[in-house]
Amino acid sequence: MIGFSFLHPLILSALILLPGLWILLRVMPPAPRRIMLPTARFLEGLIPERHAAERTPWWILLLRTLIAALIITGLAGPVMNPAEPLPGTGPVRLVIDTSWPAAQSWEMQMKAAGDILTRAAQENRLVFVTETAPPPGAQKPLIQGPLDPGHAREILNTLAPRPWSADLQGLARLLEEAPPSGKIRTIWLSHGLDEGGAATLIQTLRTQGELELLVPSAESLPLLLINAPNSGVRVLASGPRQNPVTVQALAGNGQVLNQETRPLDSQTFSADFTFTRDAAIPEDIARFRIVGQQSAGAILLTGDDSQRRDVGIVGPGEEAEAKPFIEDLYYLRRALEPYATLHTGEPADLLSQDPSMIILPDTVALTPDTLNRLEKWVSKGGLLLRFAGPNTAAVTEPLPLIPSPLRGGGRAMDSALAGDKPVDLAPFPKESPFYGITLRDSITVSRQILPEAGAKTAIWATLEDGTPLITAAALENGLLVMVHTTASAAWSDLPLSGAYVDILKRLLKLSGHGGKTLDFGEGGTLDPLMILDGYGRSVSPRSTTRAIPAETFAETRPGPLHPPGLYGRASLREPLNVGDHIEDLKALKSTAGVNVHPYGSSTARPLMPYFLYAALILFLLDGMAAIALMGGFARLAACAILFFVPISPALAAESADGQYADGFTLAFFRSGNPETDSMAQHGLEALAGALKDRTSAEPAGVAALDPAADTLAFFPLIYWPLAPVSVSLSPKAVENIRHYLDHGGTLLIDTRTGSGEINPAALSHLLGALPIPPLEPIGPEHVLRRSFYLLDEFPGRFANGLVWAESSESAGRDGVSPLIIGSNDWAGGWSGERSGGYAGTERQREMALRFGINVVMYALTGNYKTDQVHVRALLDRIGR
Amino acid sequence: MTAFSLKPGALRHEAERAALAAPDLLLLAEETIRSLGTGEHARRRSGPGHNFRQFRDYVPGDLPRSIDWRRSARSDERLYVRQTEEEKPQTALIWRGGGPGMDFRSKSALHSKVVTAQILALSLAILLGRGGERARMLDSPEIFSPEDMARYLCAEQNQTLPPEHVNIPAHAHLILIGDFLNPPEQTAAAFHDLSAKTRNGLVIQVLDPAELELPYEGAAVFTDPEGTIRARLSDTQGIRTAYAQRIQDHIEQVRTCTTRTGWAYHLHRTDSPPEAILRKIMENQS
Repeated sequence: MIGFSFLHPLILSALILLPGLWILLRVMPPAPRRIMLPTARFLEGLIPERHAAERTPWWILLLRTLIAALIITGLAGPVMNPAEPLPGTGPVRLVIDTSWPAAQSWEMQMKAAGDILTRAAQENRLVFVTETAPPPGAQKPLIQGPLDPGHAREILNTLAPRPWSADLQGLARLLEEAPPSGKIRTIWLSHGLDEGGAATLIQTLRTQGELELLVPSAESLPLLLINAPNSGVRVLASGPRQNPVTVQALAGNGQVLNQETRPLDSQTFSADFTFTRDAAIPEDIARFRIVGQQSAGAILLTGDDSQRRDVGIVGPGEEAEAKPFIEDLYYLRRALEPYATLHTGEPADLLSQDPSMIILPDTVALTPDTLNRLEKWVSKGGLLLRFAGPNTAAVTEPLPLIPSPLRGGGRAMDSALAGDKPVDLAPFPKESPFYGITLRDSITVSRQILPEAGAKTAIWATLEDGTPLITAAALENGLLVMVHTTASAAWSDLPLSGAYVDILKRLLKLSGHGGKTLDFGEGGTLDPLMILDGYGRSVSPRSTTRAIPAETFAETRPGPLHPPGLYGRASLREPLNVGDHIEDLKALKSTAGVNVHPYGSSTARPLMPYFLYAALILFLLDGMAAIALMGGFARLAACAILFFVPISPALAAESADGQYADGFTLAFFRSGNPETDSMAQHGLEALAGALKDRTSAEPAGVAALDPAADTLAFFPLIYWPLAPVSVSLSPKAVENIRHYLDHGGTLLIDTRTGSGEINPAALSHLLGALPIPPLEPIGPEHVLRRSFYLLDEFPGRFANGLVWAESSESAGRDGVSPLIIGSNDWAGGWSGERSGGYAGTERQREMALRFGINVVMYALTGNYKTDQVHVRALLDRIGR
Repeated sequence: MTAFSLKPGALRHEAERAALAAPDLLLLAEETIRSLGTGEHARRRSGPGHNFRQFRDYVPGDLPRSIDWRRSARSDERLYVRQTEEEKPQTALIWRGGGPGMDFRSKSALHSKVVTAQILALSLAILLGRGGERARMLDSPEIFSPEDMARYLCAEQNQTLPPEHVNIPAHAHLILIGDFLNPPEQTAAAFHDLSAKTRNGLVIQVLDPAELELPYEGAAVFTDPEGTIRARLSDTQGIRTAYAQRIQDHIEQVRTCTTRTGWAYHLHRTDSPPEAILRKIMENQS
């Protein structure tokens, strides 16, 4: 396919003019130089011995001819690797796969379609555009044409991948019904999968003319995510794949809850993922997703989401909180508030609000009318949760609306009379909806009400001795759940544990679904709540999206009228997924006689811009040459330098830092903790004030520095307060600080803990790769004790910490330590009354300031005062 | 592109003229003198001066205050008179030529002709002043200090030939520096008039190497400093020898009319350092 051709070869004939141009340029030399010479007078009348012909230099000639040749060639529209012309004559039919797998190959398909339209436009051929998937709201695939290529391109721009399957059989039927006049060449821009009926379509297309098939490479064929039979998800592929597949479980807000990667089975080309429930997260999974896939088929909606449900709690209303027996309510409210909208009140009021779940905490006094209404509500799909308690225990006649009859009286395991001991809750059985809830601490139940032995009921939780704690029974579409102990901590410490919240959350999930079957009443429908577009993005339903009758929902396949998405009502959501009713994926197989190409084999590249750029550059060169010939070369060079000298960024950076270069500025490293930073700022300001008052060192201000970004060279002393939670330093910051210390900087590191000991090893860990010299506590003769004031201790906000400096044996810099490390929170001490937490006396603050002044003097004067340390020895030696 | 189409050299002239201010000229002159490496040129003769020459016996008639009492006290009964060297002040009058042609500077030249002339004039003034002579500008009798002279030399000067009607003290030293590219007759006339006033003269003709050798090649249009086109040449190197001959003739004429008046003549090329010519001159002087 590599080649070279011209879009407008006629223009090349202008190249004939080049020799004429050559001759013309040759006799028109550039203007001679103008030379000022004071002795020019003496040149008058002089005749050269030999008269050289005035000719343009040959290289200028060549340059200018080349410019002309480049412009002519460029205008002729050279193209590298030109696209092959469309084979055959007559109209071209584009069959474009627009069903869900096309999202994966859409860009390739559109590029190929664009190229074909370009060629069709060049060859003046009409175009038919055919989609394989019906557009939204339509029943059949759309065939458009004949169109001129420009119009076809507009239609192409309106196409998008649909989140449903193609109707290849229907398309084949349509094409057969309306055959084109004469043979028509078809190019099928496929997504590479056979969605059923591909063979029929290929057959139909071939009978109507030549067929060319474009397919993506095997590795880029789309994947599909479906529900696996074993409550997990399954990834389907149409063929072997080398790379493993990653599936993510996402919460409703898009947060990735879990993800797993595994290779495809080499036989079935599928992989099953089960996101086990013991991770305590499955209840929040809103959707699964195949990473790296773009189609709606790579999304599997679960229908679950952390949607808030209405929960009614039978009990006195909000205004009656003070009564002691509503402790049950308190516990329930606290547990459910984050997950549900709570209503408290009489059963009749609650029923009128049609909640998903009604809780009866130890409530027995219900009127028959209320009981009837409750029963009706439960059988319609409500979840009634009852808790036992003293009231329940006191009832002797059988209670209505409970999973199983109760034995009279309670079982009090903690009473002195009973021989029983309080019993712990057993782990939840596998069949229980609470399976997977972790019992972090042992949960002890001391009193409960037992169900009748032998009652047929589901037991969702038991104690370790086997007695049921939570029982449940279905009542038509609804559920009755009984917790055989109190909702408060009176009878057990279940309400004190996290499992209480988890159990209620699981029950919330169950509520609204009721039993397995759903009753939507006569002619009930599931309305579209949210649908997926072709790329699996959640969008709001279109006008063409129809509600699905409840009775046919299970059989519904996603399609133009019912795109995949969530259907249902506010309290109930059912997912409709692309992969529903798809068992396996098949790759598109071509039959003999069909040209099959991969996408992206055309690499036509227009070269006109390059030719014109080259001509422009040569033109500039020619201009420079002309100037040079006129003798202005030096000025030309100067101008070129003016044009090309970049404004040095270093120069700009210097001016930004320059504000610190004129004076002496105290500085500290930002810790990232605003409190620490403000403390350091205030402390250093106070210290700067003290320095101005008492010494000749007059700081110009206080600078907050970022060790990674700022130039540290301007600061003789940098105070480094470590925040309670320190982030580790970036390599750039370490390099910067190392450079600072190596070039004479002094760093005062303050751990601000007030503890007496600093473990240099721990500090070294904290400071990362910084060169920490051997450290030792400051001795009695250390110059820090006398660089301005004579000091015995170095208090800050704390007064008990040792201060460490480089040990004198290893002193590299003339005995001046680059590091002073302590824990006394000096900034806190300096700022004194400015910060709230300062507990020290005024005396302590004064001593802190004195230490600060000594440190500044130490940083500024180094070991200058060390001489004074030896003055006695010196005096002794000279004998005075 | 408009910047490039300016008359070549116009920019350069401006820059160079502006560059040499009086302090710069002073510095250049002092540098030149330093590299000259010569000291003061005292005349070894007794006379009123500061430098000690010898003691001699007191003879009646000597002023009593000329007795060196300290020396006399060391001897017995003899009185010594301290004699100092005579430093007879002689007046040197310096003139520097100007005109637009003096601003010319070719690639190989160290300075433009006018700068070279300024350096030579000021260096000579300073050197002569140190040697005890009273150096001043020919056309401004009241300027003596090197700073003032530098300022004067840097001022605009358009005279291509020295003024004829000036007051010249007898035996004054006349130093004329310029390119003397005027027609030789004019130059000769000017020199002749001045030589009537002093026999003691020195002419330094400052020329650019390009003016002497015409180092250009190829097609060119030559203009004089006023912008008048004097020659269009398609092949400059073809007339180089003929041109050199003309220039040499001109120089010879200037030299002849100088030596005829009894003055000294020196040719200075701006591509050779000013020290060389200064050294030659100072050697001839002492």
